[in-house]
Amino acid sequence: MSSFTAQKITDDLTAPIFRRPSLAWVAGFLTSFALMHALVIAVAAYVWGGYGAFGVNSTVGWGNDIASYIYWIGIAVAGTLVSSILLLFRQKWRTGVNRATEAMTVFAINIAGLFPLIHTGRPWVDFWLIPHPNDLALYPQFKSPIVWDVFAITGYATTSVLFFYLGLIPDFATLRDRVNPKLALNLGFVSIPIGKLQRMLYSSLSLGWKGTAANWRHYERAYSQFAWISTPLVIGMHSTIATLLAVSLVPGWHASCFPPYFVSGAIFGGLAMALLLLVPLRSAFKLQEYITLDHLDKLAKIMLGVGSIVTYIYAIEFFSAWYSESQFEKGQFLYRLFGGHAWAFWLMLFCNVVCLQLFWFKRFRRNVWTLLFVAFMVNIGMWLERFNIIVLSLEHDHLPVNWNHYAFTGFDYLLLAGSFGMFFFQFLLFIRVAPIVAIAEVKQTLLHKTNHHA
Amino acid sequence: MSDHPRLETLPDIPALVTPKLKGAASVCIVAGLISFVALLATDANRAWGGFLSGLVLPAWLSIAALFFISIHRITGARWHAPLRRLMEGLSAGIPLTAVGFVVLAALGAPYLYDWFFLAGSPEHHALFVTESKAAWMTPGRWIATGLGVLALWMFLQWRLVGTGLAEDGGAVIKKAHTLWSIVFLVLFAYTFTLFAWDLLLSLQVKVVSAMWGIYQFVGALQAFLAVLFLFAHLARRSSLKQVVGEHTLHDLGTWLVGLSCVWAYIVFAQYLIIAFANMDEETQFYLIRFQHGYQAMATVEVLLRFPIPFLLLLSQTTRTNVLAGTVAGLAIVLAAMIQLVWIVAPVIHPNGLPTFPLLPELAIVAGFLGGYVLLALRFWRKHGLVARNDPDLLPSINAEHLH
Amino acid sequence: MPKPGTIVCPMTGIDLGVAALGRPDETAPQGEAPFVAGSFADEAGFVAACKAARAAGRTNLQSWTPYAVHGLDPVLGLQRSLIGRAVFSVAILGFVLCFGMQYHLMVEDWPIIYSGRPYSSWSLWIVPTLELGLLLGALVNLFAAFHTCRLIPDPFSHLPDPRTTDDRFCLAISTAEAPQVELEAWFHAQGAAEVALFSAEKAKAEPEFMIPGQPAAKESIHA
Repeated sequence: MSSFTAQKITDDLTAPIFRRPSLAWVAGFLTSFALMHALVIAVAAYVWGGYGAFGVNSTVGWGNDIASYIYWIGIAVAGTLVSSILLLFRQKWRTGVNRATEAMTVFAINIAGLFPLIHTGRPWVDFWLIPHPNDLALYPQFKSPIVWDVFAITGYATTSVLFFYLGLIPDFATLRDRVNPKLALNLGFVSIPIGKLQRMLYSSLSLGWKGTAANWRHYERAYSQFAWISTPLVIGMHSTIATLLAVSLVPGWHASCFPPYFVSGAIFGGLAMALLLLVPLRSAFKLQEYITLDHLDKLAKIMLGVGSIVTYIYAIEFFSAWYSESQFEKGQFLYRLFGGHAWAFWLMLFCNVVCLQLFWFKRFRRNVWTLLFVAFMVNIGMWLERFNIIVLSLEHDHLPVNWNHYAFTGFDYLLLAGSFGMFFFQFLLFIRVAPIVAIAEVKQTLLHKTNHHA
Repeated sequence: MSDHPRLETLPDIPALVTPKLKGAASVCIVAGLISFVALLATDANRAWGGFLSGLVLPAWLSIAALFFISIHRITGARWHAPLRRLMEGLSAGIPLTAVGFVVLAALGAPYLYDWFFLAGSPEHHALFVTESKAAWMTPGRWIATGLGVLALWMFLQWRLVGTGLAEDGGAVIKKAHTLWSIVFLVLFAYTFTLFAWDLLLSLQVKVVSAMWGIYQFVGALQAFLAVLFLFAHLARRSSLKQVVGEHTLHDLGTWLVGLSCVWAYIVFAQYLIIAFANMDEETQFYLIRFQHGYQAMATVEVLLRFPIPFLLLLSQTTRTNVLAGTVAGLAIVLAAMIQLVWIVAPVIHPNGLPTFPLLPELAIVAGFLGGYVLLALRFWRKHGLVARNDPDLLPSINAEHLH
Repeated sequence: MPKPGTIVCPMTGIDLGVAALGRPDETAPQGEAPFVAGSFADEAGFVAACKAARAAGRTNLQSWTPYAVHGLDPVLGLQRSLIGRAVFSVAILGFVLCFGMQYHLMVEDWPIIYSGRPYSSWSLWIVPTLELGLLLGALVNLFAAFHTCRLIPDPFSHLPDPRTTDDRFCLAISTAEAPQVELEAWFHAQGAAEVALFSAEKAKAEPEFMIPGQPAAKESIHA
């Protein structure tokens, strides 16, 4: 590690911000920007036309809205795993990837939050979810898991953003002190003082960070404190979503293993998304020395671990459905295997269980193409897992007369595609504004002489 | 910063001399035997209930020990190197459970499981809705599964610990140890669940909880960490003074705090989902365990397992404190014993334990625990207290940072 | 006897750490006298200089580093940050408040029978209680960090050397402790890459304005 100097680290990690954007970046940015507008159009059409825009029907009351919601929340969870849980386990390698995954968390959670807000039907009165004195003299029902969910998401989203920002402050200070104030873009008729604007931006964002010993002492304390807060918060948050389904009587939803099932599934899918972002990013920004193959290997190993837990729970769900002797439970799980949407179940198994087995081999964990392949498949698989849980369970409930089929409408496709657009739009914007690898933390890890096991 | 001097070479480790602990373990065994025989003469159902509660404990702790060893191996963790041999010793309890299982299968099972008692009679079918489950819940299948699982665990323990011991002879074990760790982790998840369902959940044959395997395992892991924590404190007083540093103890304490939270999370999640949904086949599990004095047991168990260790070990300074550590460790071990009684006894005596509530059962469980401790002590007598040739040992002992 | 401003837990007598939030600004150089600042190119030289300065009996020190140098706090004589206790106390308060709110709304103010459950169903309130308590803890944690680090949007630079956010480690010693010439010689002997006078008062009065074209502090190293 002796080839690293503080100067080199600063140069390497700030270079992408001060460089002109590449053509690929511009293309990706414009595409995702356009896709994001699909979301805007979809939501506008929905507000105009009402809940019928969704493909839901009287049997399948929840569809794409909740499946995609849980999918995006799950992606957020993995970022908190890297930023908080690995910090508590003192995994120093996390500094290579924590900024990117935290950014992923923040961007995924604001998209996730959008879905339930839309799906309430009348988004303009969503503030009723917050307990406040009102003219109806009614309060949210705190015995309802739907209300728990409001608190869980609010708490988690706020804490994630705060944690993310606290981590960015020293790096914003580094950028503040490195901006070239004389830089200007001369367009002929007008000269844009880019350097001055950048300096204003970063000096505001860095909040006058000085980096004195007293600063760092409190800062580090607050940082690890955030990890201690975020860890129960994120597990509690995703367990709350799981509980929301599990406390009901719908066959396929009511299983006591749902909370740990959802948490491990979320980490699984989220790490897949993280790999999908990190692999292209490290080549595009020449960060191979900072986001190394070792990092990707470790993330793949964690994926293998949590993926195996998910596989275990798939098995246990089937076993307990059979063991319960409940005809509704058994009917539901047979429906998943052979029913109208059986393809979704088998494809999910292929993506989440079969493809994952590649990660047993070191050669595949250290090959960017297999990493991308498995990550892509797991992303599909994890979306389908939520689709299976939400839609298939509702399609085949207790009453045969009630059974119905669910299908996506154009609006659903637009909403889903738009959510990806919004995600990548935010991410691509972010990587041009802030360092995508935590500069101060990486310096500390790579340069500090007395590491834990020195 | 560590307060101990840097070790360049490993000093000689004296054997662990614990006459008091050995005496206490022997007393527990005798008390357990006396309680068991006395109960057998007066209330055989209750005797076998206590026996079942006790017999799973050594296997639970041993499996948790193997899990802890394996998970550290595959994640490449190094902080635990000074404790590895202690953990290997604490995985020696599976044969005790195997013996107990054979005795239970041969003599006691009909007293506990109604489907076992009714096997072969027409009433057996009346217990079930489906033929396939009726075929599954039969003594032959149950015994075969139990023996198969225990044999597999003993084999895996032999391979995993054996590989660890081969290092003392100078072998380089990283590759083989990693391989056996992976094999263990994949197989144990399914077999542990199967075994936990078979032995404990099937006491009420209609009750289902998909969380059951996880619930039992997290409880076992927390109890194992408490036992390890206690032994680390004990060994630190004499033999392992220079080996188990304050930072190692601190890390172990952090694990214990974390596991206490995880345990509370799993228990609450399972309870909340079952209580909220309010379905007969599930709530009966809690209903019979929340009346006639059993609720007090549940309350005591929860208090001993979560708030007390959490508050005692929350502060970084108390995590290495001998008194706080001992109290927290003992609380968790006691709670784990109470939990097993709480799971089994209400099925046998739904209207409360008639005489001397809880005491004879606890004595029997303590007897099994005593046997487990003696097995562990025997292991350490034979193989020493420290994995001397572990390449991570000295760096871990000399690690500088506490936090 | 607790110090004034300290809030102590009535049951355990433990300092709740709230007073930590009210401490004077430790992040700026202390005192009226100007400081002699030395910039070091690497961590090891900087830590050695800090140790030497403390061994020489210097107490009025200030340091700027690009990252948190572990093990520096005891060298500089800084105590452990107490904001953890403040956060813990507030989180507990948050638990109580949130649980109390649910009890008030669901039992006293507007009781409604919901799926046959009792008005007071404590086990169903644990989830919001936990979430809100932790959220409150997180907010206090952030504001405690902002306050103790004196972070507030600020267009001025108060750094003796802008490269301390990049690759320089800077130590400053007050001229109240020793004459300026002596300190400069000492820094050179310690292997400092650059040594200059840095006046806290001056920096405060005439800070380097972050938007160029404005006057900068004359005596800062890069002036």
